Amino acid sequence: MPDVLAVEGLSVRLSAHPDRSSILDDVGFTVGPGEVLGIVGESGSGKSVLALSIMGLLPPALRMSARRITLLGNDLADQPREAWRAHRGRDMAMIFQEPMTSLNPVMRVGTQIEEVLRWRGRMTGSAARRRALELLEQVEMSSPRSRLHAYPHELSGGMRQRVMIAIALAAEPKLLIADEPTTALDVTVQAQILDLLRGLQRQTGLSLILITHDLGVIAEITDRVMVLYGGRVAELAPVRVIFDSPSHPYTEALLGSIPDVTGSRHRLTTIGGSVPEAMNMPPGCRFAPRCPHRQEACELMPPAIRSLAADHSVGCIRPFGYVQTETAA
Amino acid sequence: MSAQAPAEMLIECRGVHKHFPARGGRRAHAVVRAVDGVDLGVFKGETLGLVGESGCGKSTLGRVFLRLTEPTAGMIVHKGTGLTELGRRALRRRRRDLQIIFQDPFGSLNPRKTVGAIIAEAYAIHRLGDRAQRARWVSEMLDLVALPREAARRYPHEFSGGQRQRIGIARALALRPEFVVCDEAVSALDVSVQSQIINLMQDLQQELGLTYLFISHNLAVVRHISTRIAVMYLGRIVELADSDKLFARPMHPYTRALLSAVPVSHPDQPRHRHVLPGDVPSAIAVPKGCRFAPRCRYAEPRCREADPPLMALPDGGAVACIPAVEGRLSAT
Repeated sequence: MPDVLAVEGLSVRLSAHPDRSSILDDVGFTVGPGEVLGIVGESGSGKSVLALSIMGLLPPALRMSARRITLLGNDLADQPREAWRAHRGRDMAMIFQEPMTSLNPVMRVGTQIEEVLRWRGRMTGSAARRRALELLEQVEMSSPRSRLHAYPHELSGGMRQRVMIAIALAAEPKLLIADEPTTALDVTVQAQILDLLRGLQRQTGLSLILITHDLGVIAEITDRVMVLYGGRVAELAPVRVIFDSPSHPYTEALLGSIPDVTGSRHRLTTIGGSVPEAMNMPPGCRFAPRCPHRQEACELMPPAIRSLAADHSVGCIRPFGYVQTETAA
Repeated sequence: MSAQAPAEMLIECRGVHKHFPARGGRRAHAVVRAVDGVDLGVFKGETLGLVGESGCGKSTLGRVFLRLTEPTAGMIVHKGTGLTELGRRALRRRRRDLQIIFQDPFGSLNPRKTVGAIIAEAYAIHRLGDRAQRARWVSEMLDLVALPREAARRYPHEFSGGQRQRIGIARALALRPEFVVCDEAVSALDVSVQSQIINLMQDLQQELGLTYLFISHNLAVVRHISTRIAVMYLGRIVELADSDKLFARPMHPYTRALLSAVPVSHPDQPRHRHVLPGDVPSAIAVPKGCRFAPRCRYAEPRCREADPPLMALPDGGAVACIPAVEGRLSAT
């Protein structure tokens, strides 16, 4: 089956300093039908900017270029902003970290869902109302009928995120992008929302891009994982490969720096220094200044993304577990 | 890591309540029962983890420990004296031993003061040392948290989040306290930086013999750093146990649900979710009887009648649940 989304050579810079800045650089990946792709990175990795780029929602201060952004067979890379509007909501939808800032505080929940149905689904009055109720039931909202009349401030954080998901699903998109959907929630509510997302994805065959800084969330729900560092792809692989045999030194260090709830209390791995800034990216590998395995060549030019296996690629000149002949370089 | 010698109690809350007037709304006399009857002691040299979800009262309890928030009822006993009885001056002297590290390394440092002035403020307040001596102490503190000495002349905005948290730690430790409340001290940091700060805090504890009350919503971090863990729900401690024991054999139904919600650490790890129905009730309208009963799948009629106290268990832990104490809960 063809990919739902294919991205190639996506770069984002500050419009004011296109030559000196780099927020995303040469990012490429695909999302298959019914697949859950996790995108993991720390602050400054460019993961949220990536989501906005795909949605065509970048603010004017940021400038995007891409060789290819193919959504359900349509190449959007060179299309004007209006072209994206035809796809937003219908083919792809997005949910954000803080549902309160995405919901209209003076509009009842039901009306907000119906708005999408009228606009995208071309539904009218009572049909839209019935469908809105179905959507609230689908996102497992407690007492859904009375919630239709509630205002966002009357709901808890978890219920608001359910409303956001209901709105996102209203036009039956093929791709849902969730940017830190559970970060603002308590752990028991996070578990409910992750279970819900996984259930909906299996039930509807939706493709899901889940952006998070939390490797636990990645382990819970994703099929494949893209690790971003300083706006570049560090590693892209199936979730088990990422956890069992990471090839990029950053992926390995990231896994070692999280306390384990089940295992022993080993001393945590640390990564010295902090993430590079968009206006001050190192010329070579962006992780090189913090990398314990750094070599001279790492600092000269950015590493090419190379394939280690059909579904495993890495942006490092000497990845772990990969025997390289010295003469090949 | 259970202590062999009988442990010495450093600081203790006895029957502490903190009620706030509920602002706004029509119920003029409503109170928020943020902390609602807590007895909790911290042993010298240990790290006591305090976990719970937002609104459970854990930050308020942390502040009450230092009397930064005045308790509505109950007392805090530090080395045999009641902090709650001390006058302003005596309390200020006592505060040299009692410090706090905050979550937000951006909001908790004065942006108009240099890092040196921020750290040295503690010496000024307590009238310790002269100018040259304070500068020397500041350099020592910066060494201790692995920041360059020239950081003293710079301003907070020039530093990254992790570096600012180091400044916050240097300020808290400037007077060489023995007890430090860490209120979500690593929660705002990226994981690679979070691990640096956790390791630093553990090293400093060893080096300076510190005692921590470590408040966090992140159960993996709390397990990593704590000797014992107290679980809080709606203003009460519902379970207290050694860290490993709590994770291996949680007793309280709320602890079980909380631990089962923690994301797995590997995709192949099995998940046993206890999904809790509903949301945490408001601290304005605390349920009668056991406050967890309305969401508890083991609740019996008598659970809704009397509020169970925190009851000691033979293994040194304690739990506020009658069916759990009677061993009537299923194994998982």
